[in-house]
Amino acid sequence: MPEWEDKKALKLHQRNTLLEAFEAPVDSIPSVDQQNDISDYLDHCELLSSEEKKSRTLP
Amino acid sequence: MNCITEVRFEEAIEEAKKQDEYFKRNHELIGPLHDVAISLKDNIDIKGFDSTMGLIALACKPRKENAAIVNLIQKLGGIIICKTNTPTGLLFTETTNMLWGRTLNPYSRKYLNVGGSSGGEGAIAALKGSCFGIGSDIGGSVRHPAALNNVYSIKPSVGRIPTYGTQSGQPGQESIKTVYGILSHYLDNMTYSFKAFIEAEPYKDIDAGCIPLSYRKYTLEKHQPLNIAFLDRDGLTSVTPPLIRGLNIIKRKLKAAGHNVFDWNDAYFKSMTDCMYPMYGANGLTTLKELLKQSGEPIDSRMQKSIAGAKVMPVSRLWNYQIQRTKIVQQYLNYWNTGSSNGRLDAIIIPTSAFPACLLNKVPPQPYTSMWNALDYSASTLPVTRCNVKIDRPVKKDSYLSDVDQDVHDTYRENLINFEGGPVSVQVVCNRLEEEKCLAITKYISSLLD
Repeated sequence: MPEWEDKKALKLHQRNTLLEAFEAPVDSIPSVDQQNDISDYLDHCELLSSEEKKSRTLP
Repeated sequence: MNCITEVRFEEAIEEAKKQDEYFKRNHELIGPLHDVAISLKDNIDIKGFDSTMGLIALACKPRKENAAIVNLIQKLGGIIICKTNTPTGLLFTETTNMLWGRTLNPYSRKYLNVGGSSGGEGAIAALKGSCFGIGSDIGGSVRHPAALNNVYSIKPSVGRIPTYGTQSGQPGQESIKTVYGILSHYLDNMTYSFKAFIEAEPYKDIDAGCIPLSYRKYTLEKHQPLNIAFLDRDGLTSVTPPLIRGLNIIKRKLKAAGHNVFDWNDAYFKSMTDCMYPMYGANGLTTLKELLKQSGEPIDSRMQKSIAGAKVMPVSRLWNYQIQRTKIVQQYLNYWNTGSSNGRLDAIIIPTSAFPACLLNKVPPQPYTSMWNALDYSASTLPVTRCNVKIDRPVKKDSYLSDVDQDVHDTYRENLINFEGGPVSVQVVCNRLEEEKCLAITKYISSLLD
């Protein structure tokens, strides 16, 4: 293994050890789909009329 | 998300306990940031911790002194909990490197980019991992990740927030000066911390590079309409449909509130880009090349072209670029004052990127943000909405500003579904040293969106 890989492994190990005690329980982390839920933002879309929604470039 | 590099959790708990004891004993706070949890970009030196910037050559080499901003934070009672990830040597706008790997975008771990170079700060702000964070910005490195991670940010003009004692992949590059800005999920946290920094008068004893300018509270007059210009392009690319929708949302709200809103021309962007970008690598990226050589780590594919093409620029050529830059700065001030029939501009609203967060390995150059570094204007970012691919349909354009522009729109069309949920943010750009005004307008626009 090249020297740079040893150094990288050491540094990552040091960080991960320090983080370990503070890691969140796996079931409290939102899933990718939950995080990507945009339903809260649909109200902003209603600010635009249908005509404006069709418009795709500024005048 | 892999946003943290250096961990200070245990130290932070101990420092907070000591400050709690101080409060119990004295019934007063250490300062306005008493026990406030703060994160820092990896290039900001903390005594006893590395500042690797993703470079393996800098690993296990703890810094000997605190950066000036660290001294200021500690003086005000702030608790630094960690440092966060950057691209290799802060050289590109995508947070990945051979040491720590890639930082993921909390809004789309699968497809979307976290931005950079303060990408770790963008992600930790989105996750509310710190009350606020500090990042450096020399071409958009605070605003780009803030926008891509749906959080607020402010990039001040030179001299307001301490910079001394921080690291860079291009140390000594001062044609475009690095500034330090604030990122937070909460606009109030950003405003509060900026005020705390300025009111501490860091020019007196923290950083000789800070200017003696007090905090100037800015109040928007109720019956005085603002002059707000809108830009949807940056001379290189034009924005994709979600950003058009974002701009229209703000435009419509401001108009309804009685303000003057109008479209603005992308004049001077190209000429500024032409003289600004060569300045960034004027020393042929010598420092970075040496560090890469020392460790023997493989060169990231995003850097290969820049590294291979980097050559030391003759001083006379650099000075010529600086002459051109200074001339454009003067011309733009005139444009700012007289370009609208409504009078001097209060602000320009412009996105930070053509995309609602960029795809992985697909970040185009960013004159949207770097222009304001070259002009040294104050600029914030605020989240507006998120990409909804059902209504943000791709547009067929008859002509493009450039090949990069065509690539941007082709990328959006060909990968549409991957942009779903991507944050749509804009910048509020005010003139030089108008940070208080910039924050006041940002707060006002955010209130219109609630």
